[in-house]
Amino acid sequence: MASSLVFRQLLKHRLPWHPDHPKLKVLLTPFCIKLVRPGKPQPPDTLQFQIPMEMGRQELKIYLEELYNIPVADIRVRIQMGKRARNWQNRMYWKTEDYKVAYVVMRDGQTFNFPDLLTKKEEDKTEVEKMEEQMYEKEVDKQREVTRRGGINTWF
Amino acid sequence: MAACMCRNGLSNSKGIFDRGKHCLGSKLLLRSLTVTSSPQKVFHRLTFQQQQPVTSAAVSGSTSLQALTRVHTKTLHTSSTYHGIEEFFDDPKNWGEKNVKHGDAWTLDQLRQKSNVDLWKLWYVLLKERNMLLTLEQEAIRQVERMPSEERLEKVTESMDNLIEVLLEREKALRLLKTGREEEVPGKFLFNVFGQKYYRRFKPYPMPVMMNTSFNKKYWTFPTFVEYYIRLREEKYEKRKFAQAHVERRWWAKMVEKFPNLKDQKTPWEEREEKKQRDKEQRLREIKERDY
Repeated sequence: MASSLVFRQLLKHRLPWHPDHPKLKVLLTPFCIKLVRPGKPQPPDTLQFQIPMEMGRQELKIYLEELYNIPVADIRVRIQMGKRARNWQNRMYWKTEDYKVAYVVMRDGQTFNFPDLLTKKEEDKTEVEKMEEQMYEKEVDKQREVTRRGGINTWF
Repeated sequence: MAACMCRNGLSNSKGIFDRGKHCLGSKLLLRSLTVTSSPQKVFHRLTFQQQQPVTSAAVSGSTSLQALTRVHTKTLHTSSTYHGIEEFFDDPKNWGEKNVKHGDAWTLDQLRQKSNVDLWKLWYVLLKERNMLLTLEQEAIRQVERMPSEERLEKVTESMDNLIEVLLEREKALRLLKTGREEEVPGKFLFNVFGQKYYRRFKPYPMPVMMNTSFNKKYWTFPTFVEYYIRLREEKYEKRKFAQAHVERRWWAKMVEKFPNLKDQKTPWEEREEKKQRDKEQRLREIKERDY
C-alpha cells in the first residue's frame, strides 16, 4: 500500500528488490489537497476534493485515513478540464490548468455540511453593508413573488 | 448557485483565472526525498493515531509519586487534539473575520537547529495548514470575496521550501562524506544523435559502457552529415537573438527620447552582461573556496 506513495520518478530507476537493498519509504508527501463546496448537491456523507493530477485514489485514501483520520468507504475520481478564454481584440487564448476532482464517501454513517467561512459577524458590519443586504433581500423577495405568479405582473 | 449571487459585484474579484498552487510541482518530485527502511517503524500507521490516555489505575501497583507524574507527562502533548474534517477549516473563532493574527514563516536558521524527526513532524503540521488555507482560498474565489489575510499561504509555502532545502543540505553533506559526490545519481553531458547536448543520468546496465561499442556508436555520437544541420541550428538561434536585441535597442532609443535622464544610465543589455560576469566570478570563487 505504502509503496504506491513512492514518487513515480524514483520508481523508474529503482533496482530490483534484494535483501541488501532496503525498500524505499516515503518520508514527506508533496501533495496538497483542498476540500471544496460541491457545485451540484451531493449526499451528506460525501466530500468533494480537488487533488493534484499525480495523485491516485489509493493514495488519497491513505492520505485521508492516516493524516486526517477520516474513515473512507469509497472514492470516485474524474478529471475536470480547465476553463478556456479568449481575447478577440488581441487574438489571445489562454486556459486554466486541469485538475482532478475526487468524491469521497465516508464510512460509519458520518455526515458533513460545508460551513460558511466568509459570512461576516453582525457586529463588524457597517451601515452600508446592512443596507445592501436589505436591498438584496428585497430583490430576492420580489423575484420570488414573480416566479410564484408565473412571470405575470402584480397589476394583472 | 452561490457563484451567481455575488452581492459585492466584481470589484473584489481577485484573479478568477489564477488558481492557487495545489501541488509543490515537479520541483520536489524530481528531487528524491526518501530514506531507507529502518528497524524502527516510524512510518507505521499507528503513529498518526491518537495516543491512548493512560489512567492512574494502570499504575496502581507503584504508589510512588514519581511514577505517577511520569505517566501523566507522557499523555501531555501540545499538538491539536481534534482530528477529522474540522482540520480542513480554520478555528471557528476566525470565521468571517477580515484579518487573522499569525506569525512569521520558518527561516532557514531556525530550521537548521531542529533534528530530522522534528522537521518530519513539522512538515505535516505545515501541510495541514496549507490544505486549510487552500480550502479557504477556493471558497473565497467561489464566493467572489477576498480571502482573510492571504499572506499566510505564501508564508507556509516559504517555510515548506526552506524545510526541504535544509533536508537536502543534510543529505548532500552525508553523501559527500560517503561517496565524495554532490549529486545523488552521477551524470555527464553527452551528444544526441541530432548533435544536441543533453545531460544524461547514468543508470545500471548489465554490460559496462566501455565494452558496448555498438550502443556508443548508435546513441552517444552523431554522424558527420549532421554537422551541417548543427551549423544551421546555431545560425537560426543567433538570428533570433539578434532580432530580439534589435527590438530592444529600438525600444531603448525611444525611451531615451522620452526621458533624457536615461542617457547617463547603463542600458539593460549591458547590465545583464555585467550581472552574468559577476555571477560567473562568484561561481568560480565558490569552487575555489570549498575544499573537501
